[in-house]
Formats: sequence, C-alpha cells, structure tokens
Amino acid sequence: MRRVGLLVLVFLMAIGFSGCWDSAEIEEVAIVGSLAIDKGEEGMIVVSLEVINPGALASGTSGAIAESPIVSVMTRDEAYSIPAAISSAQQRTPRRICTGLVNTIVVGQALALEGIGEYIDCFVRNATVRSSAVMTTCDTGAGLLQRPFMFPLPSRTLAGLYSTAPLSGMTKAVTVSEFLAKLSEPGIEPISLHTVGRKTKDVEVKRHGEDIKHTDPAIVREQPTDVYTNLDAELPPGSPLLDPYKESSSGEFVTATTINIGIAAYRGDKLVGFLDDYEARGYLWTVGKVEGGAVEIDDPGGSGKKIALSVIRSSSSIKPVLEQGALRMEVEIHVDLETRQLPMGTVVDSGSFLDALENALNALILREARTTLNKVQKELKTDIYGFGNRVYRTNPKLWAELEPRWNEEVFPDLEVNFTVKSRIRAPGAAYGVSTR
Amino acid sequence: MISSRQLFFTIALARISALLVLLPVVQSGDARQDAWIAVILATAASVVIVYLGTYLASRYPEKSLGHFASDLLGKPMGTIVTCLLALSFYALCLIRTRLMSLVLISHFMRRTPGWALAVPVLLTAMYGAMNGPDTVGRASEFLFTIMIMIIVGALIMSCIWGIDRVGGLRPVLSRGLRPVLAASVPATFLGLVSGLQVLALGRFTVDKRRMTRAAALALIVSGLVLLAVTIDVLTTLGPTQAQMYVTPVLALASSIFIEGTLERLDLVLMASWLLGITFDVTTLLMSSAILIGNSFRLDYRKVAFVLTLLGIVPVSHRFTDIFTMRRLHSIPVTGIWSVVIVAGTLMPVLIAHLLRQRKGGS
Repeated sequence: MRRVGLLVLVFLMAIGFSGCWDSAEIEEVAIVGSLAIDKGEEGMIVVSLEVINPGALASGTSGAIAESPIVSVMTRDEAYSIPAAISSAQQRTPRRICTGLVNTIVVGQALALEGIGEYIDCFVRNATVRSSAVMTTCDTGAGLLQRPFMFPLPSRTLAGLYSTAPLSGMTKAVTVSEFLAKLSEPGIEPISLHTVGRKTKDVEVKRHGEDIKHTDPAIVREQPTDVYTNLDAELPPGSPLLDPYKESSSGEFVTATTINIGIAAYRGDKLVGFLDDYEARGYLWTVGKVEGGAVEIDDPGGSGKKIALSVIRSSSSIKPVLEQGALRMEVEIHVDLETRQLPMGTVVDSGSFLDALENALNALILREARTTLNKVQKELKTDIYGFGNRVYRTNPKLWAELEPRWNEEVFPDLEVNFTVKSRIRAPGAAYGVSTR
Repeated sequence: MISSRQLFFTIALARISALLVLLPVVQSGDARQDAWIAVILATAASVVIVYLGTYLASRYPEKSLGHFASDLLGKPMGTIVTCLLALSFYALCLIRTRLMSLVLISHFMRRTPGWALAVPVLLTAMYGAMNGPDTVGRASEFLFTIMIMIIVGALIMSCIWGIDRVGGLRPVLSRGLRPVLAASVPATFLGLVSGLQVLALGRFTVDKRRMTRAAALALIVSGLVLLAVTIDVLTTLGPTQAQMYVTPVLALASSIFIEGTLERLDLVLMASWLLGITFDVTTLLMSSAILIGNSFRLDYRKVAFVLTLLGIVPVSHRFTDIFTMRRLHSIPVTGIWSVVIVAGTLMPVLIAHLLRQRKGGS
C-alpha cells in the first residue's frame, strides 16, 4: 500500500514539476538575440527584434544547408509600449517569440534623449529578460541589429564586442541591472556603452497591424540601403557613417556593425552626451575601470619617438573631504602597466628611466582624467562618477542638504584633486633589443 | 529519533528557505543600507525567544508541547495554546506552498496553474511528515549541504562575475533605529517560527542537553548566511531597487552571467530554493501534525494526512495572489503574529512551568 502511495505521489509530482503548461520545444520558439528600441512617430516607439533561426545556424556549422540559409530575421514594430510591439511581431511570426535569451538591448539616440525609464521598467518587470543583458546607446537601435560582423548573428557580434571592447580601455560594458542600480541610487548617474552607427535600411514595419513601409526583411548578406529618415529621424547631421567594405569571402559589400565605441552618459533616464576614445578613458581612469589597452607617451630619453605601454589593471579610491564648509573629492588612481614598444636600443632596467616613464604616465593619466572631468562637469553636468553617492554614504546629513542642487550647482563646481600612482610592473618579455 | 546535528540542519534549512527569496529585511520597512543590521537584530531576537522554547522542551524531554501544555495549564487551556502554535505552523506551511507556486508562475511558468505546482509540494510534504522525524532529519543533512553549496557558489559568482557594486553600506542608523527595528520584525517572526519547531521535534531528539545549543547555532548560522546574502543584494542591486523586487535574490542571480558556462544562475538558485521550501513545508506540516496529534492523543500521521487534504484548496485557489503574500509578510501582520505566538503560547506555558517549579512540582 505504501509503495502504491509513493508511486501515485511520484506520478503527481511529475505532472506538476514538468511544467507542461509552459513547455515549448526548441524548434517551436523564435529566440530573440537582441532587442532595439527607437523613437517612432506620434509618441510611439519602434521595437526591433533580432529573431534567430537556430536551424540555419546548425546547418551552417555542418556545412550542408538543409533549410533556409537565413540565420536571423529582424522584425520591426511600432507601438506605444514594448509588450504591444512584441505582440504585433508575434502576429506574423510563426513561432512563439522568446525573450529569455536577449543578451543585448540597443537604445536609439533620439529615444534616449527623451528618457528610457519606462522601457527599463518593462525589462525589469519581465523576469524572462535577464538583467545581465548589456545595454548600449546607438544612433539607431534598429541599424545596429541589421548586419553582423565576423559572426553570423548580430547579437553574437554585439556580445563579442561588449566583452572585448573594454580591453581597449576606452569603454565599459553596462548591464540592465547595473544601469538600473545607478538610476535608483542617490548621487550617481547611469552610463551605457555607446556604439556609433551605421546605415539603416528599410524593413517591414507594422503599426497597429497595418503596413506602413514594406521592403524585404533584414537578412544576412543583403545590400545596405539608405536610411529611412522619416521613420527613424535619428541620425544626427554629423553622425559618422561607415562606408560599406567588400567582404573577402563573398565579394559582397557589407557594412560593419560599428565604427566606434565609447560611453554614453545619462542624467536620470535621459541621455545627455557621449564620451568617446580618450574622453572615455579619462572617465575610466577616475573610476578605476581601465581593463586594458595601450598608452602612448613621449620617450623620456629624448629620442622624440613614442613609447607604448599596455595597461594590466587599474583601480581608484574616491574620498569626499569636508574642510571648513568646503567639499572636495580626493581621487587616487593606481595603474599597473608593462612596456610594449620602445625605441630600439632602449633597455628598461634602470631605476631613473622607469621613474621618468612613470612620471610621464602620471602626467598623461592626470591630463586625460582632468579633461574628461571638465567636460562632464561643465558640459554634461551629470555625476557619472558617483561623487554624490560617496557624500551620501559618508555624510548623509550633508547629502540631504546638497542633493536638490547637486547636478546643477554643486557638481559642476566641485573641486576634485587627483593623485596618480602608475607603476611599470614588467618590461615585457625582454628588457630591450640589442644593437650592433 | 533525530540527533542534535539533524535538529540543527532542520532549523537552519527551514529558516534559510523561509527568508532567502523574499528577503523581508530588505523588502519590509525602510532600513535601506542598514538592512544588514536588521538581520543581526532578527537573529538575536529569534535566539532569545527560541531559547525559551528549547528550555521548556528540554525540561519535558519525552513530551511535546501538546503533552506538557495540558499538564501545566489543564486540558482545555493546554489544547488552546498548543493549537495556537500548531495552526501557526500549518498556516505558514500553506502560505509558503502558495508563495512558492506564485513566485514560480510569475517568474518562469506563467501559464501553469497554481495547483499543478502547489499540490505536488504539499503531497511531498505529507509524505515526508508521515515518514516522521527520522526521515526528515536524514533528509535535512543532505538538503542543507546542497543548499549551502549553491548559496556559497552563487555568492562567489556574484563577487567574481557580478556587476559593479553601486550601493554602499555606510549610512549606519543615520535615520535612527526605528526603520531597522521595523525591518527586523518579519525576519524575527520567520526565525522564531522555524526555531519553535523544537516544541514539537524536541521529544524526538536523542541528546536533549544539546538541543538548546543546536537550535541557537542553527539560527546563528542561518543568520550569517542571510547576512552575506543581504549585503550582496544591497551592494549590487542598490537598497532602493532591491526593495522593489518581488524576489531580490533571484534578481541578483539574474544579473550574473558567465559566458559559455552559466547562462541563468537564477534558475539554479530557484531549484535549490524549491528543495529548501519543500523541506520547510514538510517540517511545518509535521510539527503542526505532531502538536495537534499529541494534544488530542491522535496519531500525528493521520493528522498530517487530514491537514494535507484540507490544505489542497487554499494552496491552489486563486483568492490569494503575490500581493496577498506581501501583505502576509508585512511588518504589522508578522508583528502581531509574533506577539500572539509569544504571548499566547510560549509565555503562559513558561509561566505555568516556573510557577510549578517554584511550588516544587516536577
């Protein structure tokens, strides 16, 4: 009797825990790799989904193309909210749209300027969208998703880029969770990765189920077409667009995914500006997040040539100091590097040479950090460094006084003192190259 | 019979499971960065209250509350105070089963009906309860080990692969002690309920002298685990946003992604929580059945069977939702419930015991 009871119990548990009501076979779901949101017309948004065809990917790896060679399709739908746009896409997608594997969320620049809080809210409420998805701001969200580069899928291209681009030392990958935490905490403003755009081509767009623009859907290896500016209205006049280049394997003209990558600065949920290249690195020095990349400085030996060093790691400490009623920030930056390229005959083993090199590095890092800080304080007026958060943590009462006027009045004129301590840890694999 | 080590695992596992996903110290009240202090306060308060429970249980080594409450207070009064605690265990058993199904539905299985998730858990709990404390005690050793390994692993992954920490912990009691005390109320309630199961399980413990130590140690160890999880949640998600999540720990796990190795840590954590919560529901059902059975001189296995049948509708029906669960774990509800348990069950029995002791009775 007891065994029968146990069998019945196991049977009932199998029914419940199998989750049959929510089961979905892999060949029945439309996996969304990336999601982009752009500004639409009349207060609406355009949601672009990169829908992956796993069958085509698998056949590509085995060499034989058994089914459609299209590895991904992009749907674009216009609605007032993301769920409504996804529902619209579902109307004409023969598989159930699955957002559980979205690893990239691209926000169009025009939309970001107006604020993206409500869309972040949508991602957070939807537990199937993982909050480890990387957020990026781009000229056009849809444009970024249209063509892959070095990977068969745009989402893989972007995911690869997000993990490798920080190694340049000029950007930082930011997840939805991190963006949200900075958005909700006092005294710190969010940033996101910034990718500078490329051409967008026309694709099928639906608004309330009605075709408003109908061309071929975006598929791999299509010729790029011109920007449909009426819909996107996003590319700023000075936006650098990448010209198509000829792909060696197919001979086709293909646009790359990005031409540049940096940091987008927000105030609250609104985009206020960009930090690119050395500006971005200046910010990253201050917050201690330079993860790699090369630094070039003038040869202190007086050869007139440049010396290249690579960053091993960096860190920083930020401390607020209140003296005689005046608040200032003390920032101490630590950077470890190793030499990578020097003028021939230079031997890296003398103390005085290393000291001179480190002093030159300190000056460079200080200059970059100061230049960026000046731009962020005077132009962008957004505390992406989290100086205010340090004040809040160390002196909550003072923060209560300063908070209402922090970004507008206090932060732009805040005194920040830098102390840079760079250290060359190794000469590389050799102390130098001998000459005759 | 269970060993004092198994009692330790049982109480610690039940408390960790009860507190882990909802993390009431973060959600309830407005302690913000100081929520970690609320964990310490809640643990200390639970230890004190549970000490009184284990004191009584150790004084009546061969009896449960159902027996010695009737001896001390008389049959009618003893039955009432025992049933008060037994029904608390039973109500929490049903609440936790329903909560588990609601969290699963809202996060992962939207189209699955609640009964399909709740009823199997309740049936498993019944099976465990009917097998008795021996089986539950042995299961606790295995499940506690699994759960701790997953939690520690998740914390390590959060430290190594987690996002930048933006929320600092510095403001210590900058807004006074009141928000922290308020935040500690639900955690204290859940801790004392887990710990007071010694009033039912004490008579099954082999070494009665070590019972108090095992219970206190279980609360302290589970408190340390929760302290680490709370600090991780606060510093990663930020205190403001952490308060907004239905399940802050799952939100934290969702932010961790290890390329090519672990896509969804939240699913792993959810699986371990399911194990823990099923165990917790089992011990609550068993403790409730033991107390009721002992009080009415019935076989607790039959009581457990009846309680399971009675619980199928409440855990399956849609009249409770996630908002109801939040209200049931709110500060006023858990505060009043704690007072009812302490003043309605623990104190009358303790006072009666002390009075009898003073008179020289045994």
